[in-house]
Amino acid sequence: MSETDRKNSVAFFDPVKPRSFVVELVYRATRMKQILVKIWLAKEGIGRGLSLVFRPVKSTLAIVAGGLWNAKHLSADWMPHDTILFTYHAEGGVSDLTRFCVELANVMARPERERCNYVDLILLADDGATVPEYLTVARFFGKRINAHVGRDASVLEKVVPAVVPRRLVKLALDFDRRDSGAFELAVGAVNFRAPALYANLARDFLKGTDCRKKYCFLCFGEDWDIRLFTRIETEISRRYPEWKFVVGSTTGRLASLPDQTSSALIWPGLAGLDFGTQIALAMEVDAVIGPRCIFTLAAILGRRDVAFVDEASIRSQYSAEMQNLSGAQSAAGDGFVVQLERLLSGTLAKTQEGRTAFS
Amino acid sequence: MELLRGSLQAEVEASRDCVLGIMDFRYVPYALGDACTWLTKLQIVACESDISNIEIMLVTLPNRPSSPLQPHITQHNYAHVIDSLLPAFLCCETIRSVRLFEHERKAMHRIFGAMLARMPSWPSIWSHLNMDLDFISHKQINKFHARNGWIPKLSPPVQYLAEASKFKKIHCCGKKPFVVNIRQSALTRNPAAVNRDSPADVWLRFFKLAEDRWPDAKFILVGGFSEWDRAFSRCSNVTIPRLYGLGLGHELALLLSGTPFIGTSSGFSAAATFSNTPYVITNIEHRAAKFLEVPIGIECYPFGNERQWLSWERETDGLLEALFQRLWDSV
Repeated sequence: MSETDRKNSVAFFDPVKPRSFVVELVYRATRMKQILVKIWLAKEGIGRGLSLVFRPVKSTLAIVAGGLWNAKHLSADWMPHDTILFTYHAEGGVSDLTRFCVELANVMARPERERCNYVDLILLADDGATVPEYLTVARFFGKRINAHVGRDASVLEKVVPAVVPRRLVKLALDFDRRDSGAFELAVGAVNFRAPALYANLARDFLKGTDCRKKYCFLCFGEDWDIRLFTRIETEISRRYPEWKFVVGSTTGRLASLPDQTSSALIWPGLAGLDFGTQIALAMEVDAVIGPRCIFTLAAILGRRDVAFVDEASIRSQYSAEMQNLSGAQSAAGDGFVVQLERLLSGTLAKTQEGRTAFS
Repeated sequence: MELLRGSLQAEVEASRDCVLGIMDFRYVPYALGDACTWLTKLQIVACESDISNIEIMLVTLPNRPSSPLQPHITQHNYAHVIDSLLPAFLCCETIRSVRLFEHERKAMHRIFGAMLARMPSWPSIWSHLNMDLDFISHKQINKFHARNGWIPKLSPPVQYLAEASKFKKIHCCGKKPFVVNIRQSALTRNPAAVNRDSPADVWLRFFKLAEDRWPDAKFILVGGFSEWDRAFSRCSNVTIPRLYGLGLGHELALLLSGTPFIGTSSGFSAAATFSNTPYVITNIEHRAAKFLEVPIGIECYPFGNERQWLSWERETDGLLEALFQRLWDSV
């Protein structure tokens, strides 16, 4: 190695040798970044420390202020302007859930209620009432819910005075005021819409099956004979090839599943659609046929074409124990098929806006 | 002062002889396992306060519906999540009332009433003010057990019992039912902690083996609809309640009414943990030992009974066979 080469190589590794401008810039930028990170961490630490100290103070202030503000609202003689009061005795079962929806729809339909964002739901729930289903139905009215659920009236007697103005306590605790007869539904005056997630899942389900088809929701009692569907498949679906049939039940649950599926009959249960999504499905399809239940009610409120059938007569025609009865009775069961055909062909009288009996 | 005599006084009156459970989803995750642990701790507070009535208060505020742990839950979808999880909060027979608050002012009113009444609560009011809830550990539960030799258990939600037993009757056809949950978070839309998932293929081979080895066993596969492989639905000894429109409430009713459980450490296993149901919990994360306050490898929780076992290993063919044989023999 020559003298010059040695000098060059020493100079190359010499740490004291001044760096080039670019290297120096990078070095300084890195140092600066480290310093900035340290400052940022210190700030974060201080911020977090302060937050930990002040959080309880902030929360306490929020609770006291919010509590007093609410108490001020409740000291008036009427409900706070942003809240609707609804009291119900939930007994459980298909008809009770339907009645709950009708009564809530009628309360919501009053024009002055439109600007209320919240509903205070006071539920006296019997052991048979699945409370989450009642809440799911209530969500379809597009209001935020404050639910107060008790299993016996004595509990709610303590809770209700803290929830409603003093003047309304008696009214809110009157769980037996409804009459047992027919109940009417105000169609067209209420905003009944599936919450986004339920509606999207229902729409995706139909689009995933075939987005070009028309869909009819067949709503049956849970214990109806599944062989009834053979008739729909063989007779109806051949005459109306543009339609597909979604099979659901009045409870949202099925006792059994078909051994085989066909292209005409679709089973949302097999796709795992939950109760809320099935209601949304009844509002998303083009037509619904079934007895009076939450699904046909949802379809009416969603302005879909609906045909009602008498649950008892259809069951007697098609249930397993009645299979061997006379042909005359079997012919009477054609009522269902006739009604379904009228629905599909569009010759069924549409539900008019206004009050409709729903019992 | 006039205000304090009105609705707030009623709130204070309503707080007497009652323990308050505060589940504020601004800082607590929506999760079945955490809900079951929380409910057990709430019952412990009730026992320690010598009060038999429990009031549950769920706070889901639309402007802040979830904790930073679950950013995918927003004001547009939280209602679906809370409606799905609600049955878990009904698994306690001493519940006097359940109150759901979506209006901040009203939730604050309730808590203010509880503060004025000095009502015992879980978490404590101070913890709530700090937005601090221990929703994972077994610290309080182990301590209570060490002192008393027992812990309060979860009970099946009564609203779902009839339908659950009808389902069992129809679909188990006289066979011995076992509730199974296989954690498969990776298959969901929002995967979380996928390292805790179980290998589906091992479970599938186990079901095939069980057809010959335990022909009288029927497996009821529970859990989210997306959380199982399609192949399970083709196993003749497996039935899936959600295919029939049943939900979490029915599944918890089946589990907590005593149907033996075998499955991965997850939400359903937490429900089984705080019940008298015989169980085998598999694939417990070693990291969890610290929170559960037990040594890694221990076979039973301190408060577990002689038919309740833990397995800390990832499932294999041989392990599942051995674990199930033990459960089968015990029931």
